[in-house]
Amino acid sequence: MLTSLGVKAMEISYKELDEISKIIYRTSGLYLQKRDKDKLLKYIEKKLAEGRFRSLEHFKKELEHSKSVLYEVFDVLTINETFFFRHKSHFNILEKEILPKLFKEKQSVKLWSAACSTGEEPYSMAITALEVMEKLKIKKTVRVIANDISQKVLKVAQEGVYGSYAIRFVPPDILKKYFIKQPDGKYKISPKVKSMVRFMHLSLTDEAGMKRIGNDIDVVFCRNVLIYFDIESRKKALSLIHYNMNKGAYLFLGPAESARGLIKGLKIVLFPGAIVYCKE
Amino acid sequence: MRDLVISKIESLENLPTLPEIVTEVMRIVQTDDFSVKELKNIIEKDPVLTAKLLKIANTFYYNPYGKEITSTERAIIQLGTKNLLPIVFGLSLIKVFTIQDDSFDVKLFWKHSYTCAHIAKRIAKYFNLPDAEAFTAGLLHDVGKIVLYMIFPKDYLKAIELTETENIPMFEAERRVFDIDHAEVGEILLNKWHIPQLIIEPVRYHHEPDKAPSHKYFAALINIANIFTRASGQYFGKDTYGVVLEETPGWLILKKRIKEEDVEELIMPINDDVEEAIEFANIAWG
Ligand SMILES: C[S@@+](CC[C@H](N)C(=O)[O-])C[C@H]1O[C@@H](n2cnc3c(N)ncnc32)[C@H](O)[C@@H]1O
Ligand SMILES: [Fe+2]
Ligand SMILES: [Fe+2]
Repeated sequence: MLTSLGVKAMEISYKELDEISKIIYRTSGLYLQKRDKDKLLKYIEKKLAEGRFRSLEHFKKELEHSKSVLYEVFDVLTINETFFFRHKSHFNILEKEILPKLFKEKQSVKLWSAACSTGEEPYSMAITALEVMEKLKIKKTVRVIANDISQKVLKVAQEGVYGSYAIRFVPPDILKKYFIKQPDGKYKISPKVKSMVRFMHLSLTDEAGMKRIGNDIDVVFCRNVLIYFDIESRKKALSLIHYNMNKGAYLFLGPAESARGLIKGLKIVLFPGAIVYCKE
Repeated sequence: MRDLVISKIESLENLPTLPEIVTEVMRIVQTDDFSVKELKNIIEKDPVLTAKLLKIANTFYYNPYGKEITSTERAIIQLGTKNLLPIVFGLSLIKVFTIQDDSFDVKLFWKHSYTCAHIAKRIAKYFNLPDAEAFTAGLLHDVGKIVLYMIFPKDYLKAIELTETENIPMFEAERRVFDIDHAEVGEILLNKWHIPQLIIEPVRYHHEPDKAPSHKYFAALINIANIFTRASGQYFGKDTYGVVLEETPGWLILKKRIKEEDVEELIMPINDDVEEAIEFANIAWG
């Protein structure tokens, strides 16, 4: 497992690494797994060797007080990225459990990708909905709202053209069905999928703006973004999200993130391979 | 069907017996005073087991910063004598049930069992319940599944299919097909193997801990550990329904002992548990 850790423990002990992980958990709500700690260790050692930090103490101080060091750690742990069907088990549950139940209950369903980045997440949600409808042989109205604070990523999302990295986990049949191969080898999302998604330039902590999403959301994905916030902003964003959710609606966070300590009115629901929150 | 199942297990026909070495370690650690030397002598009768035990003692989980352990005696001390029986169990069990059939995913079955063992051990500490026994109970909790499959493979595959088509838990599907479930079957086998009641009860009642006559908290612990194991993705059934944590029988029983702010910290480390479990399972497979 962590053999490299065992060997290098002479320099930075596992106990110190644990402490650093606790700082990260406290400031961002991100729980580091052992393999994350392994990556983190390599990063710290490299930065110490380069002289970027004078000592472990110096690194810890910077981590606690400077967002940029924390963000660098996220980069090292590749949380900053996004791709189609990221955290596959979430989409499994959406497909097998949540959407079929919603389609049984109502004619129109509203999904939300909160902090959608370059669009892979909301498009994956739309594709999943299309697949479920096809399988159940039903027609429903499905809308996907997607917002992000960055204009730059939204522009890419609107264009909907993706390289091989973004689509690497898309099964071939889905790729064929919902993407159009471009002359340059890239893949463009099909108009059918695109028409289901509406992008909005909006911050998750913008109270007035968040009301524009509407308070009739059935499923919200808010993954790998709250960790960039401080506790107060996280609380605020979560309560605005919670406000927009229907009773019984589901909230997906990143697999290593948590919400419970921050906001009341969410039940934990355990599915095979996924832990999800449900509005009471 | 029920009576047929029971009589088949009672006769132990085509069913494995507990390896001698496990029985011996179990006997020794149940006596009041035993020495590490005695344990060492038993373990070393089996060189393959000894080698695996050393590997376990050198995993990050049991030996995070220490020097490499090369002697059996050191290994036993490092692991802790109370953990020895659970580990010997864990290393031997996988070889006891041999299934060479692709339709029963035996690897996944064991990954589920080892993950449950590791989760049970970790959360037992939180609840101040015996963690070494929690490991063994977690390891054995679904053993009835493999037994049912060994006796009636075709019918068991039908039951697995039912979990998918009806989206019901495995024990429900088994009750429909066999009129008995893996928890009861596990109990019968473990009684044959003379396993202590502290272990048998949580195995028997891991899906209905409120019915456990004398170790209700312990059964509740395995109930929760099993649900966490399913949520970790190491899951054998094909059902996909969601379970509200606060409504699970195990949670209702242990609720009084859980601080609200600790809930997520109990859940978050499950992926670490999975990694440890898979490392353990790989060593056991050899
Ligand atoms: C790592 S990406 C997550 C993308 C996607 N949800 C996923 O999990 O793959 C984080 C995104 O959050 C966006 N973001 C950061 N702060 C935000 C805020 N206050 N409101 C909305 N989006 C924000 C960033 O612009 C970035 O696109
Ligand atoms: Fe079970
Ligand atoms: Fe189980």
